[in-house]
Amino acid sequence: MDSEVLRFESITREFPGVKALDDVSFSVNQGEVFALLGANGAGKSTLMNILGGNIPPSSGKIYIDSEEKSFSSPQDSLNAGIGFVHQEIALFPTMTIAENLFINGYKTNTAGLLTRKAMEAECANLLKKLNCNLSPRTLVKHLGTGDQQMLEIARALLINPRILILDEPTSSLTNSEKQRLFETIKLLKKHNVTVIYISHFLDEVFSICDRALVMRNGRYAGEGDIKDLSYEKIVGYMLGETESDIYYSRKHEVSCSRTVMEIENISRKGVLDNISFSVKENEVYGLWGLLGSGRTEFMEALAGLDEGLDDYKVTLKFSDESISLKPSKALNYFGYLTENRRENGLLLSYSILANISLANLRSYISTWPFVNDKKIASETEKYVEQLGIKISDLQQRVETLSGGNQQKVIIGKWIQRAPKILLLDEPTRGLDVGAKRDVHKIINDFVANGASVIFVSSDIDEMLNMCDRISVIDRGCIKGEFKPGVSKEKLMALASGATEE
Amino acid sequence: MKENYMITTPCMSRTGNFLLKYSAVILFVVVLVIISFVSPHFFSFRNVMNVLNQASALGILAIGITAVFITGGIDLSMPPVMALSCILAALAMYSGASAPVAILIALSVGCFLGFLNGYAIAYLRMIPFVVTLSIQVMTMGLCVLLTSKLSVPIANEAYLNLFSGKIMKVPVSVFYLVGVIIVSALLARKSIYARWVYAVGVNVETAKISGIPTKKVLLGVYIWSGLLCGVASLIISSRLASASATIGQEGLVLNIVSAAVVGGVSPMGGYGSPLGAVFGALVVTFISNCMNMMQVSYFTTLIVKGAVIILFVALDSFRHRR
Repeated sequence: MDSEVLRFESITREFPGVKALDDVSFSVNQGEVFALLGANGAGKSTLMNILGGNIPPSSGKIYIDSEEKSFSSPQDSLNAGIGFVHQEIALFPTMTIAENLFINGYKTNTAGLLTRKAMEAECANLLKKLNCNLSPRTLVKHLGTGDQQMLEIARALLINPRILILDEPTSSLTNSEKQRLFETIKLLKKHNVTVIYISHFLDEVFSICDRALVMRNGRYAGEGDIKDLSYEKIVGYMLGETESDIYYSRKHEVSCSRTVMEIENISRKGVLDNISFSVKENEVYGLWGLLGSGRTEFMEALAGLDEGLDDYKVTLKFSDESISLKPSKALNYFGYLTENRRENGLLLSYSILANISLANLRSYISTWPFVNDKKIASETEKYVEQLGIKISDLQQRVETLSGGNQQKVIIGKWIQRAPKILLLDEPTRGLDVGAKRDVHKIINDFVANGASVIFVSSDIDEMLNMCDRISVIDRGCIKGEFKPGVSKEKLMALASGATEE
Repeated sequence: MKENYMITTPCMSRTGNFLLKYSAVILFVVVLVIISFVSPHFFSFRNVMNVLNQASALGILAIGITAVFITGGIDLSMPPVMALSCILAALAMYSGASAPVAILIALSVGCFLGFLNGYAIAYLRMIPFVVTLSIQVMTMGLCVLLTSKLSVPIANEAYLNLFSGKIMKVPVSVFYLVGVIIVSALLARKSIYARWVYAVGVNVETAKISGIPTKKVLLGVYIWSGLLCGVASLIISSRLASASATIGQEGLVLNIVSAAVVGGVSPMGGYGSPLGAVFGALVVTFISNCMNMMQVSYFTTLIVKGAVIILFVALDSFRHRR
């Protein structure tokens, strides 16, 4: 069983100004689940894109079954039996499951017409193998994220790959969906398919993978059998130092401080049901729920971006005044970091300067309507330094930064405006351990200076660590409010609708 | 053209980069060389001033559409809006209104129609193409109805002197163009509004979440293009000493759009500058003149202009890699 199926030899890839991969060599065995780990920007994606034929290496060789291969297009890679499931789901929502599955080449009869029945039959067959009870005629837009992910995997399996690359497959899955994915991976393993599994979640790696390899700064950092590796050891490889505390440890000391925001009622029929809670000064208020619980919908509603609300009763209580907030004015008081930084958090093709100053331009007006560019530059510089954003200069395009640095740019944008209340939806999603800790520290400092944060995250440990109070939201309803000492099991039970408070 | 603070150069090979960056300049040089062969006397001071005079209205209109383009929109209604502005101004003067009142009328008509465009696009969420096409057709109809296809003569001396005389042998229209360039370049480089316009053009969602009043920004750019239609109408109507529906002929849209895209303004939003658009207007005017001198038929010039637009839009998508 330990026969080598894939080997990288001295793979190097240079981009203008950066060495994304530097002399990476390792091999993967037939039928194993192989974890590829590393911080953001470590080079995992670049390496997989080389294997997937999306980009060529600057130098180095790839061997499949000890035979040298060179991939100049994704098709070459497919022909060599490599299936690639990308991190982002790329399906056509208005088409059916079967149509999506065969998108790369529809089956036709001799007259060149589509053979819908045959495609649907094969599709049903494949879905059954994956334990998916879905009709091939279902439109993709009616599927949950988990099922869409499954369809992506099914699509990759269509070519009967020998190697399947899963890039961050669980980043948008709920717990039960995750379990189903793991079952599928075990199934694939049984069929002797090699799975390369890229993830940030180490607990997943420990439960599903056989071997792990860690990359750091484009280089090989270490590898081993899972049974010989520990959490600390992997994090050590990732960080390049032996540090074990993953989270920035925050002291919870909000006790008697005053209430700054009273949410009396936010409702939208079928989505949010009479949400109410209050937020105190210096507090990180956590809102925890599973995917689809309404947590993001709530954040959008609170920020005044949902125009179909049935009710919006929010009062801000600042030391000198009390304001009954109107939705259209909400963003004057809040900073809002959304869960999709690429879609609506950044101007990707613009500079760091433009992005960090974006929300705060009004305060840089020197003589109306002109802004003071020198002041913008010096202030931006200050925040870049304070937040530890790694850049070459302020004119650099944001799209060239790593995920962690992009996230810091958005946080910088908001902190610069110094809102009293900051709404953070998944602020550390997709970030590596080091960047996560940086973000935690930034949030902590921000709150310590008299502001408040509403914090949403899928990561329950992170929630318990960061939040002063935690509310559980499920299907648009707040199910209970807890202190950080609460057990994970209790939160999970509430969030998944198992018990009622 | 100094680089705007938001615009950074894409990664590309040096030659490719050079060709992309200076494609408009290269085209300009080619046109100038052809002209110097066709008509060696073209470059006399008087003739060049003449061409600049022709280019001034187009330059102002191109600056107008630049803001709209940057938000990712389009304004097809500009020529008829310009025509209606000066027709109403001319009619007012015909019935005895003074020059200042006429000017005010022309500018407000432009702004009002721009407002209609902008309101429908920003607040009713209609597609710019459809809205401005409808306004174009409606305004054109109104122009013809008002004038019964005739031209309205303008005899108001003050009005004519103000916009069509010469100062030190240079047509005043050129000074107006320079004035509009200075104001718009200043606004584009330094004003908060321009930053908002660029942001809306790159990503409306991000802009909205960042607290930018995106609807007002959209409304604003269409009012801006309407206002500049009004300004251009003053220059054209006094040059002709009359106002008529033909001022708003369809072919002009082609010239405005070519000026903007040749000048590096991206019709997909997010990139471009008013200075670039004015340069584009110059190039387009020189091309027209060149083809005139070569006695090329009007329809051939249409083919050439269309091709130029397609070429530069292709270069634009290369430049910004979409």
